[in-house]
Amino acid sequence: VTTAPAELQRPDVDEATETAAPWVTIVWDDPINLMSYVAWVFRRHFGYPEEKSLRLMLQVHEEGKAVVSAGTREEMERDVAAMHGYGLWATLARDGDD
Amino acid sequence: MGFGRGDHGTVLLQLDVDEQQLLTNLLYSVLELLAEQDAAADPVVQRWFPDAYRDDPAAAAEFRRTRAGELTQHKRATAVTVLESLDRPAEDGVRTLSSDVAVAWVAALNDIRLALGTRLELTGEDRTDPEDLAEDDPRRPALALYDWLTWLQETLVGSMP
Repeated sequence: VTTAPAELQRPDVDEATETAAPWVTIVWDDPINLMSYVAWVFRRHFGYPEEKSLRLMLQVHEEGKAVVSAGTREEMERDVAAMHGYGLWATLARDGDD
Repeated sequence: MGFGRGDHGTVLLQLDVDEQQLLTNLLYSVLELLAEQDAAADPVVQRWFPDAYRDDPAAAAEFRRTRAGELTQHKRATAVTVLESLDRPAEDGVRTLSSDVAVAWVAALNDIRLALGTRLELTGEDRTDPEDLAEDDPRRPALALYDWLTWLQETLVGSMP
């Protein structure tokens, strides 16, 4: 990881705001992905129990989207990339911006 | 036909020759599109690699710049794993897939369905039944194929260890 020096040079205020707001991964409803598959992806990637995976999948289906994980921006970029790898429609945003 | 649960976390797969050929062709289409250099505007490519940031085009572009290569490689490897498993001879018509290969299968079937569904412009739940289309409607065989792939993926998800 070669980005550490750049991180250190950033103004303190910037760093404070960036770390204060956690980020979230949002999965959006789409007409192609199967409900069973989406729940399976949540179980497999996040290790969520069956009940939680089904609940999140139903939230995506019925409300159009669901927050499926939260953490640092880098962690959420990894989760979003993994979701894209499985073919799910996922984005990340600052918590509260979704 | 289709997928079933095997012993010790494996998944069983039974396909006839035509189905194997059809899936092989579809997987090669996926690989061809992944290899295309100027396909960024293709709706299928956009569906495979959606914007990671909804309201921040610059951040979405940066995500794409840093992640697209890895994601493309992942999709390619997934399709190749499935093609290799189709290349191996079946025993009495049945293939036994390890859980890793089964995971590649379920993701590859999803990539194919995303491509086909995007081409068919499937946008909602209340889509046309292929049987309701005219005999010579070109969407009819494509929708029937899509439905078969949906059924296949559903049986696979239900058979995953």
